[in-house]
Amino acid sequence: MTLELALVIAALLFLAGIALILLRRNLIFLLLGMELLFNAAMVIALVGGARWHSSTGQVLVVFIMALSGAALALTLALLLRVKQELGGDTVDALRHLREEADE
Amino acid sequence: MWAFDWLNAFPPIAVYLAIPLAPLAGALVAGFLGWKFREQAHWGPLIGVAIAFYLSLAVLWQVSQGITFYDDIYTWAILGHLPVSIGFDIDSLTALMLVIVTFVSLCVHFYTIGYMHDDPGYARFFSYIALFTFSMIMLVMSNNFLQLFFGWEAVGLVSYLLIGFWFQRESANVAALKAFIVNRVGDFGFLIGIAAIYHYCGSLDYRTVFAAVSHLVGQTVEIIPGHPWNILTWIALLLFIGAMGKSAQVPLHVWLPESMEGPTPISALIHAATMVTAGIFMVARMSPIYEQSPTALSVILLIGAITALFMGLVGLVQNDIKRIIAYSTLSQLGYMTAALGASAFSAAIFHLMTHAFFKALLFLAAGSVIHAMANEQDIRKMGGLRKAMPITYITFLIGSLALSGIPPFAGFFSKDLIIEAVGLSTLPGADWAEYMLVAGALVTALYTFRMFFLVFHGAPRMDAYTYVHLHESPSVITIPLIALALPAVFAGWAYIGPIGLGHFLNSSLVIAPQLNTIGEISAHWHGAWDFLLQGLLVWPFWLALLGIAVAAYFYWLYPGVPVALTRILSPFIWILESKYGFDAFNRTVLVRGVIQFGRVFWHMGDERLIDGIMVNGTAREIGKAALSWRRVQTGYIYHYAFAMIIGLILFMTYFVVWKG
Repeated sequence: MTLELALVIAALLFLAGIALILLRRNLIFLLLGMELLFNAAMVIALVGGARWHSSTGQVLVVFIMALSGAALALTLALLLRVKQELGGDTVDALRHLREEADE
Repeated sequence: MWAFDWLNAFPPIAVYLAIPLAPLAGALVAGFLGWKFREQAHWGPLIGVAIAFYLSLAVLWQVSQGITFYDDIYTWAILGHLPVSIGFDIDSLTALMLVIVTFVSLCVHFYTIGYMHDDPGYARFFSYIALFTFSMIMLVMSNNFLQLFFGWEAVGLVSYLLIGFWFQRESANVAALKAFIVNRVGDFGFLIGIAAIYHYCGSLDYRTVFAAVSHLVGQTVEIIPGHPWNILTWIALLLFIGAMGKSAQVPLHVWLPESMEGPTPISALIHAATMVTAGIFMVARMSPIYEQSPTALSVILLIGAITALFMGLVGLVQNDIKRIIAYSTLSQLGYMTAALGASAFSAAIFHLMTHAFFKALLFLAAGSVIHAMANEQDIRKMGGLRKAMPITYITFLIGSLALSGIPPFAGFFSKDLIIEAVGLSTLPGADWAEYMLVAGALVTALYTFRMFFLVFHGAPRMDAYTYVHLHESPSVITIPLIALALPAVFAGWAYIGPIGLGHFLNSSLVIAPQLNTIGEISAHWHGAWDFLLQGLLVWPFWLALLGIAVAAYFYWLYPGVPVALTRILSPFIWILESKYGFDAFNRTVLVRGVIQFGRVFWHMGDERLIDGIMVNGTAREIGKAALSWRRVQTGYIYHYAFAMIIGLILFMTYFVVWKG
């Protein structure tokens, strides 16, 4: 596998993640999109490590996996609460940060 | 003298320092521990002032033996090149003022024990008057302008506190504020004068300044371009504005009659005998400056003469016993000021001294009357008090005769000396001033004896209850009356030579040879007896007798006549009763004008510029900006995500394309 191919795959993964985040309203898809972003970053780290014969890339990947796993668990728990409290699982239900227009 | 010999064991500075510090200690004791001593709170101030009086006598004795003192004793601060020091200038003028101040103060302290005995503010009152004595002593002992100014302001402050002593009365508070504010006008001029002295002389020490004055003669300054003005005239006039405020000269006199809201001992001590004469003392002390400026002397002469005549006239129509004496004080201060203008500084100080005695006497006697009348001050409701209060009656009569200038009482010598000196003065306006002062002699006798006859003679006009309860005052009140009546009788006769003609005072004064009116009188001096005989041949004496006769005719023998006269002379009476409109002018033009002026600044400056544009304007603009910017925050997560990604791309493009 050449370096270029690996980078193209990473870019595609990244684009797919962004597309999911921007286009889908469902919060599960949002999380999936974020996981794709993580995966794109991990692919870059892996091929970078292989390219320069360094173990740092692989170590980084293991760390990111652990972190993203933890973050995912937390977000899923939050998601469950959102669904219970607000009765919806789309981002449109989550507009509480918006400044109420009062003029 | 044997009584003062033991003081030689101490260094002179210790003696001088003890004079101001003893009353100060008394004031602090009465002020901080008065709640504990209650009825006995007078002991601290009384002892303090008694010590000061005794030491003042010792100092006067020393000075008469030629022992004077001039030095800084303590440097309080150094501001740039200006040392701020406490120093004493002990010479004949200071020693004399010390004795006058502490003597009257002691009499008033004693009197107050009887007069204020059931007042809830007993200790506070004693604390204030002892503090006043301290301030006045600092003022007269000073050897530099800053200490003078300190004493000047301190006596003003205590005067304010004491006029408003009965602070539950609204009129007392108003009067206190008025006195304070009018004095601010005078003090403003005084302060500028001191600043000018520092600017031109480079020092605030008396001797340094007086030595530098001779270099300033003829120098001019252009305050308005194209109009050169004599520097010394300016300095002299600015300092005199301060004296006008403190010594209540027209047009800054308006506060003195209202200061009578204070307790009567205060009217005697502060607003008759001592504080109001601070201006006279100051001008006499600054004689080396004033003698260089005939213009300033002319102004002083005329202002004094105007005050002397016209304020006396207002006294004719007053009915409050204290107000009459207050207008009389204004008039007598006018005499002193006129004497200053005629370069007769020693005559002014002489009149200051005799006036301190007989005016304090009159006030204290009036206080005794008010006490007996259960706080009634209207002379129309008195009458026939002669039999009930013999000691008050006789002392009041002595004070009245002295005030009217009847020989051989004290006022005759000092007033005649002033009129004679003004008559010899060659300054522009001196002849007018002399006419006014001579006419003032008639007016003085008239208002004094109008009050005298209405209070003590004629039919009693008070209600029956008060009439039955009329009584002579206790001895704590009558003893000070007698103590003050003695000098009111003989001080003129005894001291016209050493003080009035300046044989004793001249070492403290500087008089230019061409203006030396007192010197001219001295040259033809054949003793006090001769002076008295000559006094019988001139106008002031006969006018004073006429005034007494008219007053007796109108207010004692034929009380119906003044009522008819009032109707005929009503326009003049109206002018006098409205006090020439000074108060109305101040109220409408100055007070309302300043309020309008302030309102303009309030609306334009504060409300529009500072509040409207700077403070609220800033907040409003930030609010507006925030209002439009917060539309960015929609609450949709993908909007935020989009913004982040765009940002990321922009950064990456920037770093890769331009920096890469």
